[in-house]
Amino acid sequence: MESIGVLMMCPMSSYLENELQKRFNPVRFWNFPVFLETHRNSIRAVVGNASTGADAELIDGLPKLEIISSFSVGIDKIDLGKCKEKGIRVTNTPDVLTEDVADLAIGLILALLRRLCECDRYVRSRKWEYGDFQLATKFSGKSVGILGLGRIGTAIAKRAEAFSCPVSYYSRRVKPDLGYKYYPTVVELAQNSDILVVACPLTDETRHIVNRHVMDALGAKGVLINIGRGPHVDEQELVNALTEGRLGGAALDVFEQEPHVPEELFPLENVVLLPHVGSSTVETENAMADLVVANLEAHFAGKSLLTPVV
Amino acid sequence: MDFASSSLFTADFAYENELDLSSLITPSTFIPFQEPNPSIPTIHCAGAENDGRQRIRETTTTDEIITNEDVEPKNKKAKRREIERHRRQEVTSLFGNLRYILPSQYIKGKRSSSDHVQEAVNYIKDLEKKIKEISLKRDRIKRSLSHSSSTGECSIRSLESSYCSCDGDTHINVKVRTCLVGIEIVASCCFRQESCLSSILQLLVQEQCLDVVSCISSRLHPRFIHTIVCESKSMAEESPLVLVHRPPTMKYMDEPLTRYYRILTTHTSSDPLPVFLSRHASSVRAVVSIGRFKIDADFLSRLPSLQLIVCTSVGTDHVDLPECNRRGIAVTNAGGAYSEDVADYAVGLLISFLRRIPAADRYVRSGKWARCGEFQLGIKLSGKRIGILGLGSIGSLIAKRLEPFGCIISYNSTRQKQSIPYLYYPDVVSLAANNDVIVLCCALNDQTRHIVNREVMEALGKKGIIINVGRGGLIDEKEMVKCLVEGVIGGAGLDAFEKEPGVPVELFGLDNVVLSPHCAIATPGSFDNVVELALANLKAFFSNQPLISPVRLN
Repeated sequence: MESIGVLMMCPMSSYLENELQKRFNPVRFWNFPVFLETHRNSIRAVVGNASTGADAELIDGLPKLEIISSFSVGIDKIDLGKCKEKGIRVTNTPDVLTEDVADLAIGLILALLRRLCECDRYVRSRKWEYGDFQLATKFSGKSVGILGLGRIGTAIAKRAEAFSCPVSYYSRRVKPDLGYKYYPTVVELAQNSDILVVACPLTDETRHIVNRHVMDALGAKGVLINIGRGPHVDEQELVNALTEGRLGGAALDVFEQEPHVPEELFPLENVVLLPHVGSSTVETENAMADLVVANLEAHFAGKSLLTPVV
Repeated sequence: MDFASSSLFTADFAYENELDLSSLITPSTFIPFQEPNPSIPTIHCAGAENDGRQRIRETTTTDEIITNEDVEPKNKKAKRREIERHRRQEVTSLFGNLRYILPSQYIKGKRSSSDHVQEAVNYIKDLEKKIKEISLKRDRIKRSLSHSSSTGECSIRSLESSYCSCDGDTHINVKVRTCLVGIEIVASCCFRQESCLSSILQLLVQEQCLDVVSCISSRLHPRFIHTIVCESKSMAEESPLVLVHRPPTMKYMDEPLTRYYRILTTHTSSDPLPVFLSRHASSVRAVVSIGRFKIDADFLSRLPSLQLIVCTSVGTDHVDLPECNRRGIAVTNAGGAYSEDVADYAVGLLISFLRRIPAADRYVRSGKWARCGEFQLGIKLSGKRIGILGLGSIGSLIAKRLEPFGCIISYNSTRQKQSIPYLYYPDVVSLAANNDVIVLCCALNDQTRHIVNREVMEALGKKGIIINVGRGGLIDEKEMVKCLVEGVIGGAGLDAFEKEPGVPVELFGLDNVVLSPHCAIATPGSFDNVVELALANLKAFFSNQPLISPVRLN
């Protein structure tokens, strides 16, 4: 197996790199900008992540490519059509990161509504010595609307219920077993929610699914939480809505052009901005890395894949 | 709210409730509908600004084929939508004003706008009732005074025949008549009768239901004319006097209290506190304590009639409870008014710490994400063992919130109950030794002061985390700072400190703390709750009913 070339698209996790080093021949894309000529025929696998996947050009440039194993659950950066066409397998990392992402969603809601980041800044800058902090907004009891009730959406719903929040959702299919209220359109979900959480996969249908109409429906007292993908939200509209006060607030872990974040958001008090840390805990990254390696090993041993997408 | 089908602004509603709503309907709600001109391109209106001005942006509809047939119905729809949106905004701001004007007891618990309007009707009716009552009372007083058998009148008339030893027409002449606020007494006496005015005033003081409002004396040689105006007091019992002991900035209880009580505030007088209390508060039976001002034995000794202290905080460590117990003074606290907010905040502090949310937010805002790459990893919450110190109303809500995160809950408390599903540890050290996180939400008293000491922190260990939403005094702060700096414990999320707002400066530079300015309760909902609870406790006390949230004194 040591001769199998595995192309790593970007630095992801040193633990993952080590594990790949033990079993395969990892080629680091970021170290070899003109690698294609030297290595292209030895690359049989690609490991991508949420920010860098494999587009049609890359896939075409690797004639021996058999499998793309993504170090993420979202696979919007992989050209799935091309993979299907060429018979290339694709795997991702569902379930192991569900809890962390759901935890972060609730953490974002609390940090935004209860102004935790500002509180911390307030104390560290010694402003507390001159006066008490302002009132914030209560979380318990607020209505939470979840866009996409998959694994992550359901986990968020369960956590929100413990805060006595009524939960409603929008999804491609109604899920009556879960007992939450269903809305047939995103706008209606936004109208009836104080907090809108984006937790669906990024596809052509869901690009800019949170647009101006949705933000207007959410309104000056509503807040948006995005732990999905940046392109779910019309970012320019979001910036306008926030700076003009038409939207109550936003807590964002993802952006359209990561790591670039619209600078107009930096001075705002009613936003929380995180550098895509949805699944960034030591325990979860290790579990994700194990899953990536296990999928690759299974493939090259001729066994069935653990978490295939294609 | 579906405005199209609501009946709120119909003539019927107004008639049924005997309301005149004509002032609510402004001319702008009647936007005349114009037939659109097909030669003008379609105009989409961007939403109106809050002050009612509309910003209109033209959008080109190049991706739609515009035909004459298409434009007209589209324009009509757009116009109608515009009208609706405008109306909706007007009504929303009207409702906003309405909610602002209505006293909180009317809108408490009522969420929908139609309920608010109904409550506004009730409020108006209550006011009308009160006005009627007061008018009736005034009429009664008028009648009783003009009746010749009234004692007041008689006593005053008796002045005419007594006292004056002057000759002829220089005796006292007294006329009593009703006026707008009550009665007006005009007494004319010779200038040597200095005792005339004081006799009249003495009589009035004895009269239970009359307050002297003004007294004007004019000299019309050789006589004095004294004009005294008296206001009729409510026939009902005077409202009780309540002392409010608070910092100048925390005014939220004043208005609600003045609806039912007369209040006396301790910070407005220039006298030193003991003097003020002795002078003005000897009859006070109830004190409302806001903020963390001490109520010690000396304070209590100046209030001989005191029977109740109502605290707007949950913690009562600023009150000398043993002294209250000795004097038989009851103490109430905020009960469960804040519990949800504090529990939410504790969970927020914990997630913020583990996932480094404040630090990550700073990382993005400083531009480092674009320049320096990925932020450092956080710590997973699911599966962590959480030890709760003090499983009261706040502690149990924290436990309930953390369960779906996959956390394993255990606790230490003064009481162990069989019905609680969580694991019990008999002391704080074993609680710390067997948990990844300890959350402090117990009361501060002599037994719990510095309950988290070096031994506990060493047991917690270098990956252990302290979350404090109780009182700063629960932790030996100096030791904690050392343990954080030296890595004896993993980190902390702190909302309370020993000497607020002073925070140990060593903490400001640490990455492994999340700091907060004692605002776990700071939401408007919490303040509404505590106002309601304080009023309920006072009402119960003054009507000899059981108190709602009494604190155990021993």
